[in-house]
Amino acid sequence: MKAHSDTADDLLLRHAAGRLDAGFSLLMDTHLALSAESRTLYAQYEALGGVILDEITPADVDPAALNRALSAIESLKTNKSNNLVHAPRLPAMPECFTQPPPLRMTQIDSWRWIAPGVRSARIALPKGAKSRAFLLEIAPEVTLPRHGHEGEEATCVLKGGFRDRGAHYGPGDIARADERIEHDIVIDPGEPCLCLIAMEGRTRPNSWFGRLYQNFRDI
Amino acid sequence: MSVRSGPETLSAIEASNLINRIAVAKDRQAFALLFAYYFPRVKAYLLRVGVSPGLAEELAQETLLRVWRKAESFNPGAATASTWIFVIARNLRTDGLRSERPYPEPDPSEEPEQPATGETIVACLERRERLRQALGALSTEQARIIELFYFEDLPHSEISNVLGVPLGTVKSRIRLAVQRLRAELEVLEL
Repeated sequence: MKAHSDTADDLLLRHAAGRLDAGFSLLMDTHLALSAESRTLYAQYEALGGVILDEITPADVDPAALNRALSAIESLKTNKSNNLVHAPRLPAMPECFTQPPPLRMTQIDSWRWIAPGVRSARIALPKGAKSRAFLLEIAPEVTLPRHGHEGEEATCVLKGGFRDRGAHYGPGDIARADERIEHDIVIDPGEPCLCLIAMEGRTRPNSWFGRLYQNFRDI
Repeated sequence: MSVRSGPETLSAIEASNLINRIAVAKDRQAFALLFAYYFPRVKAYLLRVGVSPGLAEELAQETLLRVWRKAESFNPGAATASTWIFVIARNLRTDGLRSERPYPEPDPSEEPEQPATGETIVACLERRERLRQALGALSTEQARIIELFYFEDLPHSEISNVLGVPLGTVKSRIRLAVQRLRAELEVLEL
């Protein structure tokens, strides 16, 4: 069994319940595009919402609501909604890498140098988002020094892979971290590792990498 | 004036037929029946997750209008009517909270979707029954945690207050509850 299962379940449930902030929501949509196993589970968690809807005590409603809906239906015919989606903006991606559909629709800034072998690109989220999302590309065999977090963090591997405290993570896998967990990451040899990261809170600046990592905070 | 309205029950098959009548014939009577059942429920769900009464009424209204508009895309082999409508309401709520979503939902057309057949519809209804059983098999506390996820828009710290246990324990119990639910689902899958 892959490392995916134990780490992604509660994120999947929160995503199905509509409880995740924008950055984590994007991360989970991307993960779902990559993992058939999670798509199955996610469908069940959504179905849980359907069961809840059937069993909830109905609210009191305005008796005129149905008539309002029926007249709204009449005006729908002429007033077709037209959602404009902006053309996505993307920094250069590794060769042979196809972005998962949810990422293709986002605005991603240019790559920024973070440390030797490490670069990141910020992803635009809606105003009011309480989380951040960015891509991180790390060169093969780079070791990231230990660092901790003040808030929740989740990483979805898009390409390549890494080891962290004995577990291996490859494309589609999700790695989690929070204030209790310190990362100890070693990138696989052979190719750079491209990750999507969603993050709340700040990184603890208790190492040179932590200080460097502060760069991520405001991107 | 507000009144409690709507039928007590609407079977998944009836609901699915009503949506189909909208899809093929833009049947207003079918819409009215769906509306009577789902509008008070969607509103109740939105109120439970902390949406203000005015906005809940508005979002519930929009949810049902989308049911009308998107009826053709409903696939009873993939989800029950209640699940489909829950997802519409959930997305409206999260999009309402964010000013705008910069990317659309994962496009279902990216995945080869199988058309609904008698078999897939029955399978979908069976999955729903299994889910109810899975929920029933959870301990009271685990069921409460799952419910807190769905209903109360609470941060972990407040779930910690509700359950009267420390924050770290809340996080691990949430994971346990989710794992337990998943295990129940897997057992029932056999």
